[in-house]
Amino acid sequence: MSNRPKGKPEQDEDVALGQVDYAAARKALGVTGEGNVGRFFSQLRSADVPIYPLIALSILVVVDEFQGVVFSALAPEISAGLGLGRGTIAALVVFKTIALSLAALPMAAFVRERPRRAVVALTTAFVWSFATLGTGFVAGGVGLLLVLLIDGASTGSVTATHIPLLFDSYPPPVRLRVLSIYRGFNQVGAIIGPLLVALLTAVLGFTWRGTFLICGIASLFAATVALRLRDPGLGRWDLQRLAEVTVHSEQKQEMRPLTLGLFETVRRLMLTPTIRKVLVASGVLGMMIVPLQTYLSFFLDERWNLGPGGRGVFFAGVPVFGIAALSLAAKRADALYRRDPALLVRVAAVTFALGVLLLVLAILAPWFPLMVILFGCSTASFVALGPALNAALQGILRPEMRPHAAALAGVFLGVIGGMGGLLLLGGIDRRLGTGPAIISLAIPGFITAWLLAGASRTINADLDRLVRDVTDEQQVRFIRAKGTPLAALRCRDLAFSYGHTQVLFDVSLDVEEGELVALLGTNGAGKSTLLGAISGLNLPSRGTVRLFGHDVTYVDAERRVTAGIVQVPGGRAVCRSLSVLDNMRLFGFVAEQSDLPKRIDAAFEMFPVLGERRHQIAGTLSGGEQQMLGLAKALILQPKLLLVDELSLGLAPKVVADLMRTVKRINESGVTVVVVEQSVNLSLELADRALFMEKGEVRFEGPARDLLGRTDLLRSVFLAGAMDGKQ
Amino acid sequence: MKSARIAVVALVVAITMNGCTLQGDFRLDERLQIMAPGDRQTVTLPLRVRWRFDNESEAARFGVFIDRAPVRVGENIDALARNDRDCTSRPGCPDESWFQAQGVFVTTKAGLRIDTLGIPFDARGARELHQLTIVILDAQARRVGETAASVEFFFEREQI
Repeated sequence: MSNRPKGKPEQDEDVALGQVDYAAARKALGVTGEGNVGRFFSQLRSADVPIYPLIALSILVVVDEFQGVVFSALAPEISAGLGLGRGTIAALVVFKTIALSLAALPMAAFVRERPRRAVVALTTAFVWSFATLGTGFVAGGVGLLLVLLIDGASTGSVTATHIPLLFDSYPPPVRLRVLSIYRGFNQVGAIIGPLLVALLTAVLGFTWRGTFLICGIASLFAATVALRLRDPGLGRWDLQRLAEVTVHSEQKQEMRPLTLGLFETVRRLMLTPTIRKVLVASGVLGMMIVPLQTYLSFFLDERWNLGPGGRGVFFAGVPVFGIAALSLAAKRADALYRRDPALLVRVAAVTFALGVLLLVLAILAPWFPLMVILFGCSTASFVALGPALNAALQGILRPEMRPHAAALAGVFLGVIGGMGGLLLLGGIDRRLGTGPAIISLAIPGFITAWLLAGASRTINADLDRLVRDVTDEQQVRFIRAKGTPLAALRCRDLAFSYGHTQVLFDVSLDVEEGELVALLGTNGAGKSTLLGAISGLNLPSRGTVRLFGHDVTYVDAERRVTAGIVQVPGGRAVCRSLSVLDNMRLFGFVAEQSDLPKRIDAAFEMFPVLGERRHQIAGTLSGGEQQMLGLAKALILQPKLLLVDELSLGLAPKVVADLMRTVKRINESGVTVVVVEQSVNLSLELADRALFMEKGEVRFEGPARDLLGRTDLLRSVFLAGAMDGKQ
Repeated sequence: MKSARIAVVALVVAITMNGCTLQGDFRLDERLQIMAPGDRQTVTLPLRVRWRFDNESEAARFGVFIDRAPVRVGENIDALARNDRDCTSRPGCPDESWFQAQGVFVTTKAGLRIDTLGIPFDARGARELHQLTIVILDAQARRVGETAASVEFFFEREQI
């Protein structure tokens, strides 16, 4: 019996739309392949974008660390004033660092679905300003902990919102230079903070309380100046342009954000090879940076006899090298990115390794001025290509995921790397001496550079993956806009690996609503893996899975069940120790509990034999009845798309034929079905359309009877019986 | 929105309850100044500490704390023994010798002689960096105000 799809096939449009012009797409994302960089302000004028967002966020990044700077500089005075020991002060700083690292993630989740990054950036700016101001009024350790936690949590917004905001506020031709300017202001903040503390305490005679008060007021003023900051919209400059060049010039509407949850987004990011490598690199970098900050003060103290004042001047002076490096490197980095993002990442990795080497030389330097110059050059090397690297990495992500990526990098750097570094490397200065301890930090430094270099091998593929995902989304939009029904299941370019063994290779397929499709193939062809990728049990490393146009590629398997994708796994899909009825109830976890008895009754109507044995232990049912129970359980979930894996495994042919007829009935009730089956003759009797997989690729897609003519695919060993039966 | 409002109110109450009070000074109190040892000076034992307090009538006593934080404002220095079970179980403890072992000295004069220095917990090698803090106490040895003077000094310990 033929079961026609209810909707008109979309393939015709799809073929027309499926031509992805990667060169045009890359150009839209700023990778022009040429090294020409225009003048900054003239490009701003031609794009008609204001300088205000850059100014507003740069001002905020100058003041965001005021509390931390004052706290570090005046810790002894705070300790003496409040009667808190050094250990307590150190513990408070650790708590603040954890709050700072972790707060960015929920903020990223908050701004994911709606463009409210500016609101978050401004609100938190006022919060940290009041926290800084309030620090001047604390009377004890608990109050101090509270203001530190509030400040840490609120400054987490800088990580989560600032770079993504700048990214969407400015077009690709000026974006890298915008980020460099912003980073330059960050360095300015590192200079102004200690100088302000010195001015307020040494010259103007303020206590630590007065210093916090004044810095809080300054921060409030900065937040007020930034009040006109507005969110430009998600993906304003890249994804919208990308959509224009990849699909249709009339499709200018804003990209609809994905509705992934926080952990789904994190998982999605971790499946992006470049991001995964960079996050690991961030963790290793944290192992270097966090202990370095501590050891450096001791090194300056012990080796060069620099007291708090001298160290303050030293730390305030070092960012000058960073600013100089940024101003020199910004345009060159921009040109590198335009030519090839992979080249930029490689150069950034080499520059970072150079910075590590210069740091080692600075520690070994016999003269103070030489040490300062080498240390400054080391800092310059670390800072110079940071913004460009940031831009390159953010550029391979969808806009709504950028805050998550930034927040995760902070977590890896501060919590995983930082804490791990303190645990692993804490105290080595006492065993080795401070200088050798810093030199030993070069090991994680060089590993960071090596990991970054590794990211250069995947960044272009990830950029293309973004182009493909956006193109696919635009195609779906286009189809929807035309009023053409969308496929019940649409897979594009799915790739999946078990560890290093790739099992699926760019699998694309469509299953129309109401269709029954047989998925055939040899053992190990990837059929069950593909079903797992559709149902959410396997997460693909590339490609998309859509249910009626909705992207579910990285949605949790449980949420896919609620959305309508239900899989009957191969073998006996039952809990053997439970009764038939309890099996049904157990599977009804997503159904309204009041509705569950009705659904169970309906399933028993379809499978009367199960109704008769409702109180029997499932493990004592026959093989065919157990498979029937597996199907009945799936029906309770009222699937829109039913995935049936190897129903016939180990069953007698007559039982299998009965089960297949049941599957057909389910399909005729309106459920779209994909059946994976070894028994080809049965499958082809059942289905109108067949897909044949071999070695992780779809080798055939078309009418079931046409497959029988493909003797190259249906090898005699595998299908002798089937071909005999049909021909 | 309701939970957000509750959270904000709870935060304000928590901050207020945790003692965000205007009890400290915003301008430096320069009346108390340490004359010796100088900042980051290398010293020998016995260490002679000298300081100046412009309004001595206000100070009944001075509390000198070496390598430890002073007591909080309004707190009696006896509070330092609170967590020392051995001391709290002994009658008469804390006494002067207990305080000296903890690096705490109380005097009515503007000077002090210190004969021994403990090894700081974060000492690196023979050259030790110590911190000395002086605060003002009342007649009951309670700390008065946040006025404090601190100095860091080096001490080269002879290796045995």
